[in-house]
Parts: sequence; structure tokens; C-alpha cells
Amino acid sequence: MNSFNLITVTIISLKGAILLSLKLFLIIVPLVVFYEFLKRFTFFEKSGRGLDYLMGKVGLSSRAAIPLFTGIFLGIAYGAGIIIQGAREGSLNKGETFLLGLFLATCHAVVEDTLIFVVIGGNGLWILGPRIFLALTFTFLLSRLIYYFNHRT
Amino acid sequence: MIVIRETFLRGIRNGLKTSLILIKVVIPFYILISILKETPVISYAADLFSPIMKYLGLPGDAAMVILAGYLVNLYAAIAVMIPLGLTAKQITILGLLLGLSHNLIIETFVLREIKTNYLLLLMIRISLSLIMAFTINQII
Repeated sequence: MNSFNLITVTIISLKGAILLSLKLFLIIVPLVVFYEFLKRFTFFEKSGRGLDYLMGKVGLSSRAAIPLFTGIFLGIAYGAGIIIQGAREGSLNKGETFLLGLFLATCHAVVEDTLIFVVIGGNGLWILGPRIFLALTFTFLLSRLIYYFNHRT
Repeated sequence: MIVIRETFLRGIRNGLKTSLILIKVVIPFYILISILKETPVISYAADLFSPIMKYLGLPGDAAMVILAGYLVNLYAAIAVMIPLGLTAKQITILGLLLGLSHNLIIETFVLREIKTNYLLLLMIRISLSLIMAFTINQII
């Protein structure tokens, strides 16, 4: 690649990078504002018990709900604002943070990721099913393990 | 009213802060990968991986698709994938493989920001994606 091409590529990609940053910014800022309002009006405390029960099955508390559901539906990159902030403020302990990360690493942005492959001819059931199964199984098993180590005498 | 204003402003401030954390990573990596795509580096790397593709039920060229997905995102992977004319089964295998493991640079950075063992998670994602692709190739 000659130097002329290198300059062209850099300029074009810089434009792309700025556009992508703008997109991230436009998605993250409103989401965080929304999150602050939910928090201010104690939505999380109110929605508490049922959610606590379900999430307890995979070793998470409702404190991790917002980063978890943002990640599952919006994805790690776009949900980043809420994931980073929610995880930092939610006073999650080390184990819980790793469980959240483990769940999201295997299972996130499920709607978009699945649909784009279905559109070009993939089988959605086989693309999404194993991801949900792996996320639930792994988080469940690891949370039992953490529980076991924390409670052995 | 004051409460609403305060909450709104805090949201803007915190939103800006976290966007900046991400944008600082996105810009340099985006440029770096765009430049790499113009060089033969990625196709050399793909040649290196193509022998293992047959265990996943995929043609050797699919290594490029996987690399594009791992390093950039699913849209980049699909852009590389369309011209290959794959079967529905191969698209499904790639869909699961890349669903489990994609956009690794930026997503790993986010996981690092939540202060967790991101390198372990990265290894889990990559190994799971290969193991699952191998497995569903056998069963579907």
C-alpha cells in the first residue's frame, strides 16, 4: 500500500470512526438520562421481589437488573453506558460482577444478532437457543460454586 | 421541578462521561482495523486459520468472516460472508459462532470497565464459539 492510499484510508476511516462515536453518544446519553430517572423515582426498589427471585436463580440480585437487561437487548457496546454505570453504582460484589459479565459475554444483543443472520438464511433457533442455554447454565453453575465457597465452614 | 432538572443534568453528565470512555477506544481501533483491512495482514491470518475451518463444517474462506466478526462486528462479518455463497447450514454455524464471540476489542474493553476478569471472559467466549460451532456442525 503506498503512502497516498494510507492517507486516504486514514481519512475515510477517521470519518467512519467519528460517525460511529456520534452514534454511540446519541444512544448512550439518552439511555443514561432515562436510567437516572428510573433510579431517582426508585423504580428498582419497587420492581424488586419478583425480579429478585428470577435473577436469584442465576446468582444475581435485582441490583444487576438494569445492566443485565440492557445488555441482553441492546448489546454490550451500545448498552455500555448503562452497563458500566449500573455495575459501578449497583455496589455489586466481585462474584456478582463476574456472573453479570459471564451472562452477557455469551448472551447479548439477542434480537439484532439473531435477526441479521436469519435475514440471510440462517436458522434462528440454532443461533439463539444455544446462547441462552449456555448463559443460563454457566451462570447458574458458577453461582452455585461461588455460594459453596462462600459458605463452607 | 428542581428534582427533574437535577436528575436530567446528572444523566447528561454521566452519559457524557461513559460515552467518552468508549469513544477513546473506538476511534483508534476503528482506524487501525480499517488500515489493516487494506493490507494483506488479515488474509495472511485467515490463511493460517483456514485448515481448522473444515472441523467447523466451513470452507477455508470462512476464516476471513470469523476474523472480521471477532475484530470488528457482525456487519463486517456479513459483508465478507455474502460473496462466499454459503449454505443455510453454514450460515447458521457462523451465526452461532459469531453470536457468541464478536466485536471483541470494544466489548472486552467494556467488560474491563466494569472491573471484572475480562481476559478470562474473552477466552471463554472464543473457546465457546469454536466448541459450539464444532458441536452444531455434528448435530444439524
